[in-house]
Amino acid sequence: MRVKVRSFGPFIKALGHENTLELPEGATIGALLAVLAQRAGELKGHLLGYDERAPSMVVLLNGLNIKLIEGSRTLLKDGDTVSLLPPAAGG
Amino acid sequence: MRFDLSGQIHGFAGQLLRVNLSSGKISKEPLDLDVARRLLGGKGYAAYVLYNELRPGIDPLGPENKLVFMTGPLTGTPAPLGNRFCVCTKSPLTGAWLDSHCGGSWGPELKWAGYDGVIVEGVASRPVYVSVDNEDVRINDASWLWGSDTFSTERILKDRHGSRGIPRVAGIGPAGEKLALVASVISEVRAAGRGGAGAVMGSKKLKAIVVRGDAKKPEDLVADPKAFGDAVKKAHGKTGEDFRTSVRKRGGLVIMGTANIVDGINEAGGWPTRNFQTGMFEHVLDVDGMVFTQKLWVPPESPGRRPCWNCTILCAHLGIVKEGRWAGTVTEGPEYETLWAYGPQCGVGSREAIARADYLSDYYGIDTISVGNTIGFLMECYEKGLISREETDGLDLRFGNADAMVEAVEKTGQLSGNLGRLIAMGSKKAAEKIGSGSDRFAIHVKGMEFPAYEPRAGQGMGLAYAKSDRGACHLRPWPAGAEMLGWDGKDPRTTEGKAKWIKDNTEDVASAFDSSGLCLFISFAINADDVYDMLAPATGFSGFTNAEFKRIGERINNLTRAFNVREGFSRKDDTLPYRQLNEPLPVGPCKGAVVRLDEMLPEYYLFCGWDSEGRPTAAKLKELGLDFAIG
Repeated sequence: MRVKVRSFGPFIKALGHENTLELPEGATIGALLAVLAQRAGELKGHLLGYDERAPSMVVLLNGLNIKLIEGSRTLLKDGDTVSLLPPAAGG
Repeated sequence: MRFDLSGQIHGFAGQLLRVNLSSGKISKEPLDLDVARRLLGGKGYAAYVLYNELRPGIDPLGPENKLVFMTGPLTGTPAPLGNRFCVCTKSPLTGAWLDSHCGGSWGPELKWAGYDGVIVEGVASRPVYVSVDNEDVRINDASWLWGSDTFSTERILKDRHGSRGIPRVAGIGPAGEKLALVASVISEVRAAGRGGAGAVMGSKKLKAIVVRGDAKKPEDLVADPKAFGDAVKKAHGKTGEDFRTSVRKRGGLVIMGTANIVDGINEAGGWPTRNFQTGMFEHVLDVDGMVFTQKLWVPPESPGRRPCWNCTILCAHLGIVKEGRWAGTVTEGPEYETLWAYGPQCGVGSREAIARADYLSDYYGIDTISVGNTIGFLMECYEKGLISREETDGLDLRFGNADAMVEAVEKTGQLSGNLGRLIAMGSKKAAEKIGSGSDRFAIHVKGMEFPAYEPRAGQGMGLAYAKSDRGACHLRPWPAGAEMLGWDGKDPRTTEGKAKWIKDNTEDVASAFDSSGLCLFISFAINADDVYDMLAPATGFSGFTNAEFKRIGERINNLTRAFNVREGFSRKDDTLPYRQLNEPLPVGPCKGAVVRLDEMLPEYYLFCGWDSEGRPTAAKLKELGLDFAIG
């Protein structure tokens, strides 16, 4: 299956803004983050250490925070878009 | 209720200034400490003053309206981010309650001069400004200054009354003088922006209030320095640890300012684009926080940045346009709301144009949110053929036309031409003038324009806008963080539980923060208990409990609601535009959604203890000690 990854803020420099990845069926977001971590240079720790309870980054699946789904255990499906963002506040 | 202060007042300065511009009388009156304990300062205390002193139904731009400039008990103390003041009045934009808040240094300076607030009443016979130099308070002729922009006003009055950046100035520009309903009050390029407080100043012929004070020192304001110091240390620790607010960790708010949330809100389908026709902007990477950081703002460590007094988060950014038509423009910001208003709301992806429009807005003294929102509304009218090129004074007011957007902002500041006057009245009145069903996509609540969050992408946001006392406001509360950025795992698609969450956990807390004198941004790192831990030793209120503190926000919200009820507002006004209630959102995780307000509003009223029309019941007002507001 093909999954699109959209990166923002400091993650653009490490991963580029948009990537499409070929992943095996049954892959989770956690597995995707582990794959991306290998390409993420100094941001590797953010991806490997992702913890939805104390986030140092925000992960969205089709625009929805994965905390609202099953966190890093959330299953991906063909055509999904995963967004990686730094934690943000203030409007 | 009386309490032991041992003759000493702390936290508060203990004194209010009252300036009557009709008679020229200046008086000083003691702060009512019973009221201060029950409502704190800021919005809370001002609501008490205005509820009791304004007759319902008055013309907001008439001589009977009053302006209250008010600080909070932590303003000017060493509490981190304790720098806020607010301007409260009956809004000429909405006819409802208005509190508009501002950082910078004006509030602390007023406190150090020995005053918690300034109540301005009447109308001067000629333009004036008020100067406050500790005990010395004067009404001065400003005929010679009338017509000047806000930057020049500040510079000239600083030169005239002091040196080295002191005194502090809060004033209006030409837009306020000409009674633009979207006119703001500007202090050090920061704005008490919303609701037209600048027009009320203009109606009173009050150009500015200049303040210098050293009668009180920050550390002397607090009653229990040891306990206060411990609480401040704890607050510093938390802001220094949070990923969003920490300077050491180069948090998003520090590096990118409020614009750090652009990408997240856009990905959530919540970034209103082309007058809320959709929720994602295709040019987002041209105008997000990262690109502004790289291309427009001076580096965070630059000495050119001018943070608010005693701020440890440093969200303010200095922008310099280096090339193109607007090269040489220097602006503080734009921050998130402004870059949205002049960016996606108008379909504009030019950083330089947005920066220029931001600069012009501060220069003339106009509210970026209301102005940008109204320009976007008029762009949709123009594209639909509801207004002609003649009515836009020859401007080709298409979405995406950056030059036309900037020109429209300039016209608004000057109230020039048909277009400038149309924008200056705000989207509600502009829609009434244009007719032809344009009110269906005039995006406001109670006449105040929406800011930069699409409520169809977060049901709680819809409720927050609809019920807000001053109109469509993103800060009372700010559900976007939880719903669109996912902080607390609030599902943006659902209405279940939102009414109670909005009331208890966010709205009441926001009002208490606001009235304490702290910047709301510290709430990203500290909670209401931390505020209480600073407030109790700062004020020294005897027996002041955390439970007592936590009722204050609810009390304030009931009082401003009672103010609005008295002005004729009810459930019919706690609503949203046709677009948000009927037209499905075309993008994002909430694709297809409309705001299901009817699923939340009655429940919200219930939790508030209000009747089905949204009016506080006599029992609720009595319970909160607001007997005087029982109608």
